[in-house]
Amino acid sequence: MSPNVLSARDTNVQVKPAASPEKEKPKTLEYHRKALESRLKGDEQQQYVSPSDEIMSPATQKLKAFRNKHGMKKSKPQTLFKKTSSKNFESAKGAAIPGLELLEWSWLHRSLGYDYDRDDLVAVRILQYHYSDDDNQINLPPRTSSVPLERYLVEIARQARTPIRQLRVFCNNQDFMSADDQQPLKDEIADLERRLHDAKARLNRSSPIAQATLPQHDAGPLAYLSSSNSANSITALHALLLLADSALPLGSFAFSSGLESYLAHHRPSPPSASQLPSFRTFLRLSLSTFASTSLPYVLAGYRNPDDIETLDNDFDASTPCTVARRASVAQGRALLTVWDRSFKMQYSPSAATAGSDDAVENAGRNTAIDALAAFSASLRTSNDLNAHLAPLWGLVTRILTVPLHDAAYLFLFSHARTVVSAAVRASVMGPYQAQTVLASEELQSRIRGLVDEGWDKEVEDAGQSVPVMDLWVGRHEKLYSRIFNS
Amino acid sequence: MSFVSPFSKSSSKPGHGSIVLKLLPPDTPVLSTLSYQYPLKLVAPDPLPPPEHKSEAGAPRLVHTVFLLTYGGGIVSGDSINLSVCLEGRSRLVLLTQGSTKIFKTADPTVLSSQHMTVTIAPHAALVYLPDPVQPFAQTAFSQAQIYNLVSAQGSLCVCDWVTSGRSARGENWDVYDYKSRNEVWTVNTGADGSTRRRLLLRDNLILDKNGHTGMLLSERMDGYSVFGTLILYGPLFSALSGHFLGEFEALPRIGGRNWGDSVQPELTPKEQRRQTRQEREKTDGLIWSAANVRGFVLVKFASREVEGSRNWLRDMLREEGSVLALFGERALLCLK
Repeated sequence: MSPNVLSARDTNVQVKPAASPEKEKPKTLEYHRKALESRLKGDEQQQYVSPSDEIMSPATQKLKAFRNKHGMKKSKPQTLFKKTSSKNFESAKGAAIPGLELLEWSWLHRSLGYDYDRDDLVAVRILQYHYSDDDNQINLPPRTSSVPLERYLVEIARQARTPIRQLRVFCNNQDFMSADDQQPLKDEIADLERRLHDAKARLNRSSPIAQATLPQHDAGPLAYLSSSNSANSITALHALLLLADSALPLGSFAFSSGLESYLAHHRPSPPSASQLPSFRTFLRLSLSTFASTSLPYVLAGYRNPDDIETLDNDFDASTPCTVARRASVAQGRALLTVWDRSFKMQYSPSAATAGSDDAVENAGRNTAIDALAAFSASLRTSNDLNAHLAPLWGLVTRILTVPLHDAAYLFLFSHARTVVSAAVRASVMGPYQAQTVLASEELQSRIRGLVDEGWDKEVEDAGQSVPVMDLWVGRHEKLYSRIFNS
Repeated sequence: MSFVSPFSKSSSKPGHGSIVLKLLPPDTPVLSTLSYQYPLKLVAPDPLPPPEHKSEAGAPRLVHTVFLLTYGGGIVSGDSINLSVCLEGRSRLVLLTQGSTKIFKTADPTVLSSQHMTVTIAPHAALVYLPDPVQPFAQTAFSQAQIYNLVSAQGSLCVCDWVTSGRSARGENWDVYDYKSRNEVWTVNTGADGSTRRRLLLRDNLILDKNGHTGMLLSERMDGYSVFGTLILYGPLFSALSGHFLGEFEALPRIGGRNWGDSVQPELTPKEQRRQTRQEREKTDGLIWSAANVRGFVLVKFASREVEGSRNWLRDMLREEGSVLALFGERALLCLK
């Protein structure tokens, strides 16, 4: 064998393996002898080509193909904007925006230097084009007001190959925005203010309803709602946010409220088919059931704190299966624990007296606090009490001065959120689809409708509106595999 | 002893009825009152001795049976039926119907026809109420309530409440305006000072109406089932039956489980064989059920595609265990034939 077979070869030269000459035409013996002789003499400087040179792992192959494609696309420098075409660019170059001098070359260099390849070089070339050596600044084309700031930044980031976030932070530090740029921000502020105003108006509107249905509370505990005391409404909002937080340790994530069992009873006919349509049906039925069985107890717990023990007993008697009972009691007890360990200090009766001037409201709240304390105490001794979530939710929201309408809305919303989150974990849908469901106008109007519908319902009239739901929930125990507790 | 004048004015009102079962010492129960007023009709055939009345000390010698009927075989729009039942001592009563209770079409959805039954059960008394299903026709509005008052939370209950989708042969499928059925069990305790305290033990309330914001028809809410039922079991007389339902529920095959065929199929006992054939029939009838032990009750819920599926299943379950037949006789299951 010739020693030059293993000689060094230029790694940068990609040599395609030549098509095997034998395949073309059978060579004569004479030809082979010549070739062999020349090789033995070692006079022919030949590069060794391994047949494996071209072999790549599938991943490498893909990456390479992608890079080539990408490179091809980017290989032509693009103008920044349609408006500032390369023709009028030179003229615009002089009018630099104040604040854009910030992109220091060293910073750019650092952010670009990590990976010089062809694409980056293109970007650097573009930046160098805007970069004037004399004062260590770069000039980017002027941005007319018709170009949104976001798009402008994206464009810079793309060409500078800098994470957009970094660039934005950088720009925000400098006073980058012109007066024109602030207009959208001003619009947004105005919009937010308008929504806050609307929400306040709604808050005030909900109180006459609450009082109309509550003759015994006329003088009363809900009076704080009508007084446009902003401190109180902020307190209520804060409490609402606390309760709405999915980090509130109620352990709701452990329960699917029958979803898991429902899915097991409704296997899609090709197993790969989407379960999303049947999930939508379930969510509707589940919300309707939840509103018809539990919501009256929330309202009653809020309106009549003294009846909490009766309400708890009646709710327990109305819960037809172990699985649903387990879920309700676990969350109710957790809420009681959160109250005991975390909220109690903040919302103690004395603090309320000190913090507010409305004596009647405080009397109502103090009754609720006393009722909760008494309930909590007798829970430890009595076997008859269970601490179901619904009545306790009403009682706790009353103490936290959350308006009743909001408390009821949140109660149903939390249920929807729990079911949707269970659906994500049961691989029915992805997290973005889940947010779509939760944000949808359909869900909003459904919850609103259910709250209005249940507003005057007595606890005696609470009942199951979807009888098959009891069966789904009850048969959860018979599932072969379970990831949820209900 | 109070004397009731035979010439006094009738106190009965339309649709009202009353059943009082008393115990003639030492162990002979008698129907002391059986009154009813149009459109309600009560029929009490001769009481029969239970098949095994010697097995239990102090058990009554006779078991009474009363059929609840309505003129026309059903409830016409606007009817209001009010029945009170009182079981004293160690008496035992079987309440039955003759055919399903039909609810006839109403012209006005707001006119609610109703049937209200209050049962008071003394300690150690027992009631079996296994009626035919309620069959509300299309365009009906009906509400019924069965309130059971257990004195000192004693006494025994075996009651069933079931409803069908209507006349399926005429294509009716939950086309009702309104259907409500409420079953409540209360315990009544008399304090030392003579005051009575009531506590709710169980409430099973079914509400089928247009509310709920589901945007779906009632029939769509029902997931293809045309019968829904609840069986409530309570008390010492039915503890064996309760255990049977819970045991059978436990023995149901797991949903989504697979038979990998790697375990040796053991020789089935006769009981297991019957269980297997019943479970196979549940599958063909499209029947699903669940049983739960709630506050001392055993609450059985079932649903099936057709009425006969539920009827057969319920009969098989009760026959298999056998204590209802032994304590109350063959008649108790008449509506499940």
